[in-house]
Amino acid sequence: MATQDLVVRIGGEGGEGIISCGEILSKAVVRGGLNIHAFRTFPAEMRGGLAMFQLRASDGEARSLKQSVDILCAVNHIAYHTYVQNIKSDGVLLYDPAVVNLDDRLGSRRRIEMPLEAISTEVTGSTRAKNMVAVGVLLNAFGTPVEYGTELIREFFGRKGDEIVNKNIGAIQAGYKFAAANLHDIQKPFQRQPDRDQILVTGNEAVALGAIAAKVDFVPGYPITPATPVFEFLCRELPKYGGHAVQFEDEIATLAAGIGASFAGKRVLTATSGPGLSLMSETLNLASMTECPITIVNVMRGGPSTGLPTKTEQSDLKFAIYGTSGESPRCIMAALGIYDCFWQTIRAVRIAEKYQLPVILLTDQALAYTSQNIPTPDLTGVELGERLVPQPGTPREGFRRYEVTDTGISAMPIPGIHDLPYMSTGLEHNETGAPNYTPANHELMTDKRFRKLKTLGRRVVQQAKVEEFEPEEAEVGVIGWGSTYGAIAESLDMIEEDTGLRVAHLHPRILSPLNEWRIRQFLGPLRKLIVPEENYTGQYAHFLKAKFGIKPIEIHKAHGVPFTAEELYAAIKEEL
Amino acid sequence: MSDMVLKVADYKADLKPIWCAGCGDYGVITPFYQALAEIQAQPKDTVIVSGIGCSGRFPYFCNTYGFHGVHGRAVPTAAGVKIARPDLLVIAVGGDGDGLGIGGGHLPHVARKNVDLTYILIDNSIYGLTKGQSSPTSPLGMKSKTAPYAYVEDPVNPLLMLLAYGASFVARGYSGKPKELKEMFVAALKHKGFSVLHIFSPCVSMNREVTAKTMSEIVKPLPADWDKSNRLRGMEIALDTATFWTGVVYQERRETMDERLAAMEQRVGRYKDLHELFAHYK
Ligand SMILES: Cc1ncc(C[n+]2csc(CCOP(=O)(O)OP(=O)(O)O)c2C)c(N)n1
Ligand code: SF4
Ligand SMILES: [Mg+2]
Repeated sequence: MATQDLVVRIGGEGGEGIISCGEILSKAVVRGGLNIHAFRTFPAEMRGGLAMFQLRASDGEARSLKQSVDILCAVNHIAYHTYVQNIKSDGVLLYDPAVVNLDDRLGSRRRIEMPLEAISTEVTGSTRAKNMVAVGVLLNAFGTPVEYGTELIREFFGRKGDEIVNKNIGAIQAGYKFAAANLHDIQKPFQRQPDRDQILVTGNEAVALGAIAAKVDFVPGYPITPATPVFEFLCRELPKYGGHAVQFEDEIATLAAGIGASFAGKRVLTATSGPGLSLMSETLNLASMTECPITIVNVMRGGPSTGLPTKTEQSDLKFAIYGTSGESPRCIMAALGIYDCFWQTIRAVRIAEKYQLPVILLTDQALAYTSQNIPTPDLTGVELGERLVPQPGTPREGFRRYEVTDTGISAMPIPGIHDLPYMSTGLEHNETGAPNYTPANHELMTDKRFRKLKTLGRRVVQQAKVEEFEPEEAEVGVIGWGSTYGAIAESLDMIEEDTGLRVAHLHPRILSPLNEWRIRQFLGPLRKLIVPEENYTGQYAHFLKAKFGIKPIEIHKAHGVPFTAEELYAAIKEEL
Repeated sequence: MSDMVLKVADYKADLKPIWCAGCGDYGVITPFYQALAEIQAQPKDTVIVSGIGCSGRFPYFCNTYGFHGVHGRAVPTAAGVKIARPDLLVIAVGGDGDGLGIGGGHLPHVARKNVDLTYILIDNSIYGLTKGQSSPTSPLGMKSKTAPYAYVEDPVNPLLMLLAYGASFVARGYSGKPKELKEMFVAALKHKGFSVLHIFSPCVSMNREVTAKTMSEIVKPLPADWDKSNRLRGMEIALDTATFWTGVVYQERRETMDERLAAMEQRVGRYKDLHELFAHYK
């Protein structure tokens, strides 16, 4: 049987509990045995403005955001006004007649009056629990038993006392009952799997969990939207694993402290966003030059400058790869989904440690604030990556910290552990670490540092399986990167269903060093290459054009919101 | 190594200092070596972090772990070393431009965090390495390559700032008084918490106005019975710009960042594995 999907969007004023409604609903629906993709947007202001929560539930994979919705739940008029046209023609508008004025844009779509405030007042004595009434209504729409919701209320509010718990439970039950009477025919015949070992996390949470799994033990940070939740999570949880998360006065101090801790032997990670990465660029060079491992998770937001702090964009790629003075080797990666945020964080830390260089892992606001249910990660057999340190008993005499080796990697002594004091410096230096500006030395040492990237590139090719997705031959192919994976994959499935044509898809996670061999192999049989990106200038396409002399068809979206599968389906189909 | 008594010479790197003949910085590093010997610092457990400038070359000449970072970031880099590894002896070194100009914004924060490290701020009232531009401590009216007619800005008062920022150990010294400096270094290195030594060290090549001669006229040690616990009195002598009072101006024992972190982590408790955390997301 074909998979079933139900997409619900809830919109209302920021601060009205839209987001907590969405969160409780998400958890209940997952526990009830469905897969979800939940996306939220919220105004930059503390209160007021439009907050939106979109929940897609499926018994197949819920891989991406959907543009059109089965149910729009409009808690205020602006939500109705903004989203009415996203309701599918056979979709439903749920609205509170007390606050929403319908207009002819609704057309012949079905509408159901849903007096949230009145129901809330009736069962709790105030309008405050209207978001919980909405939880009840929507639980019913998803066909999730009401107990999953009421159980969560006990977990969330248990400590606040019986009165609060009972009011919220009352509100949920009233909403559920209302829906049973008024919209029972919306429910889909989902195949549920309620007893899976899964966790429900956002991209930011997956990154932070990945950092702990990677045995990161020092996290300096400075708050910046949309990366702040990673840092807050680690401030809360890292001490429980014996690590330190420490706030510094700015991103310059943050990365400087991170490099100091890395020099002192710690596994270091920090999370930032564009403006913070800009401030880190000088110290990033220092990490390359001193060969101190460090991982920077850059959660991209709309730019430039302060830009669109709460919106998404894939626009820091060029900066991540090239944005420093001089030529400093670093590895640039991008996570392509929520589950991947977890694994790529572990991998980023592993690469940083093994190759003794900075790694920038790109995620974005869309991943950061999307939640999905993922299998509870199993770390058995996962290689975390150890730094190469000197053999015990290595004599001081003749020790070369920056020894030129075949791989470029040389042993790094740790203060207090190895009796091999050395100088680590941002000045060009020779193999022992002493400053040396001779032409031959600069060439030798630049090559030594870049050789690590070549070694990494070679090893990535050897592990190419990890990188590939649609290896079969096709005439048209798509190369994407980062969070667009789900929407691209889904759009290509839609195309195949529709036309019978299979479009190839490559979605590298290591963007620099470029996996040349793999990309050439992918490009080989293709007649046409399409590169969709959520930016204005086509940053990855630029990189591919320069390297392979090709002219891809570029699809750019710089709206601050992610691609949807429908959008890509339409755009890619046009090129077939 | 650890059971051997280390001598002053053991702290000197093979690389000899390359400062100009007569540079005040020689008068800073010599007592520094002596102080390391006196406290028997273990080279293996000692990290010296520096910024950029003539003074930033300091760690190259020391037989310890050294980290020569970027301009202005010696203090936060050193803080990272120390917070990550409280077992290490951590020292930061840099010039007046490095620590009060480009990196000036870091000082209040390391002071209030009370990170247990020693910061040697070597002040010559000029940008030495870049050959003679005005610095944040160049006096009003001083000529330099970037103030060819006269400096039209007032200098900062480092001692006053450090006291106001809440540094838990503040000393002022002069490179022409190495004996006194050595005692100060020993006290600073032994101090638990953020200790700063603001040391005037003349630049013989680039600064013709603030010199050993002009300094020797105003340098004066604090009285033997100076009350180090009185921050307000310290501020008064900081405001006395006619005299360059030297000595340990202020010292207090306050919990350090690593002590507070350790206590906090004790309270928080430990998880035994990742599954305890995953459970919150089920
Ligand atoms: C980001 C950056 N800006 C400028 C410089 C150039 N620069 C190097 S040292 C220095 C000033 C050094 O003066 P100070 O800190 O007083 O040290 P001194 O040489 O006097 O000991 C400057 C401006 C640099 N290295 N990095
Ligand atoms: S330029 Fe000045 S500060 Fe630099 S080494 Fe020479 S005398 Fe010393
Ligand atoms: Mg100076």
